[in-house]
Amino acid sequence: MLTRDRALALSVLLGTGILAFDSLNIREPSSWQPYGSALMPQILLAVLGVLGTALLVKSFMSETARDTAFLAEVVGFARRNTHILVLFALFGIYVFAMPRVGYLVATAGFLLAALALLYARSGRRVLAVIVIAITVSTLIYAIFQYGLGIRLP
Amino acid sequence: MFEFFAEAFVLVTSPATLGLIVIGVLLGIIGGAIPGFTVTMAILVVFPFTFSMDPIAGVSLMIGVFAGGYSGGIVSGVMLGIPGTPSSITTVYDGYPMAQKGEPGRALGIGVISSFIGMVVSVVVLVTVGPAVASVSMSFRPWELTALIVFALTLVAGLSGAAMLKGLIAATLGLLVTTVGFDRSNNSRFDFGFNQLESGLEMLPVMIGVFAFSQLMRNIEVHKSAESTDKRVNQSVSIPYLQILRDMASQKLNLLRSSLIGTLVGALPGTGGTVANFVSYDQAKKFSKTPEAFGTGTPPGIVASESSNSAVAGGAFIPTLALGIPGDLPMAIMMGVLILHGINPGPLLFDQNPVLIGAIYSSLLIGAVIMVICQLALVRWFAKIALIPQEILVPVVLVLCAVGSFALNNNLFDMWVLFAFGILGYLLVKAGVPLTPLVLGVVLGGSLERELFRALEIEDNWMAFLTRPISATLLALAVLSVVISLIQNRLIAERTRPKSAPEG
Repeated sequence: MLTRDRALALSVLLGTGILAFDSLNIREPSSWQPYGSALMPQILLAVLGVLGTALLVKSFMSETARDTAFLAEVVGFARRNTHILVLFALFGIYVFAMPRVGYLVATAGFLLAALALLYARSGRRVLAVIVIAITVSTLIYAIFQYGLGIRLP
Repeated sequence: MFEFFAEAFVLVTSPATLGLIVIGVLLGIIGGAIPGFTVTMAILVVFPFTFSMDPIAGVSLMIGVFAGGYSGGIVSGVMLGIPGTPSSITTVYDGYPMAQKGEPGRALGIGVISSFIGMVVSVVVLVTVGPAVASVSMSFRPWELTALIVFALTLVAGLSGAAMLKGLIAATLGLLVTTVGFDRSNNSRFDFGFNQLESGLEMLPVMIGVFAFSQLMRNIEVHKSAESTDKRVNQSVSIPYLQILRDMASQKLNLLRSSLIGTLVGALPGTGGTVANFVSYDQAKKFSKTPEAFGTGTPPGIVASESSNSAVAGGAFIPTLALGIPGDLPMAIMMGVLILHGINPGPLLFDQNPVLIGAIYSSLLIGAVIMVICQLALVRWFAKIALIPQEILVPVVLVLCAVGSFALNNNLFDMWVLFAFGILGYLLVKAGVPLTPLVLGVVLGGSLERELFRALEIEDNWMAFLTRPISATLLALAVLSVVISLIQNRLIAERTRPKSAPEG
């Protein structure tokens, strides 16, 4: 049965395995170096492997009813919090769109979509959302571009 | 040292820098006043605005945020009954009942003055103890520094909650993040063929992603699951100055004790304002002649809570500046800020850049004074700002996080780093993994590898870590902190385990 801690331990061990495999490609130490560039990551990966294994073992030793309902809990969480998943997706689209349509359009679009998702529940609020999206994106642009001299895309 | 302090004071009191401290304090108070926003978030959001500033101006602005943020929690705590930051939880115990009795101005006044005195006491301790700690740690060589970082990480991992293993996993993950990209021998690691990864992962987008992104998403989650409280702010707040002076005069010992507790707790890695808050409140109650009055709106409760959580600010600077080891999460972020401004905290800083050290002291003191003035003058506005709906705040702050990450190097890849670490941070929180050790690992990872390699290059002998007394002691303390945490976790688990139903 997959529990929360078991899922975490398995993810840690999987990630550790992938990185450990990749660490074999790190260049060997040169003749004057006692240790190579792989030393530190490999020490950390060994520690992470031990900790992940310990967590996995521990997850079998102390299993509660709440732990065993993990998968149902994840599904329930996703159903209850679709707005969070959508917000993550919107942010991903925002980052993707920024270099393509520029900061102002991407930011105003992201704010409109995110505020509409979270806040706009009435006609009056829709107007507020439009005003906030345009004002905030323009204000941030002005501060960075003209106040701080930092060019935005 | 005094001449450097005077020179720094002149620099910090220039109109431009003073203006930045005022802005920083205001933003800090607002950050602390908004429930769920926290001082750390305010620091992260304001930081990108310092990129184009010189180090002293940038650090002064950030310290202003720091000084204001620690006192901001009192506003929502007293006016709304909601702690603005975790470090102001016990302020609500007495501040809110006092406000409900019709004395919000008295509660706010006591809290603000206590906060000010707590911060001043902690700065005095910082000024006197900091150089002494730095001069002792000047004798630390790579073995001791490596051991010190390992000790700090294990301590923080152990104190981050009931999940010791998860804390250690988080710290190791944080350290691992710093191994991505070219190392000091110009060998690339874990770039997976992406050119952008060869230069490594920038600290700022990683920290913002892991901490701020996940915190914002949790705020939305909590807000949606709880019904809106729809609290109204009392518009007629007046500060009874004479009454407050009488209250403060009767709390001298409590004030000093709580300030020193806050300073000491702040100086210990892994603790921070929340621990200081509870310890000093508990001590004030134990020493009180009327402990039954605590929780009903009594001044000593507010004094203990607010003086201790603000004293953490100065205390936390002691290990950060003198040892290069941050005391808590906000300080870990502050250390990241200093590093990104080209300043490497540690004992050498006292020798190499005493003016900057003086500027930090001065900014803290000036920030404390400005905090009192701003809080007393603008408290009702801060209370109104604390009511900004999270549904509006979260998207706006997400944009600031994204723009801040981009502005660091004008690099869009940093925004993807922010996004990826935002998802990772949120998943880790859901898995019950504390984020403070991860952030600390990210901040200290570079130093750990550098000092470890220096030690091994000087003497290719791992046993040297155990044969040098200070290094061996620190490593023994690291092991001890893990063992103690494991025992504590076991005791807590046994105490909270539900008793099995009787048979038969």
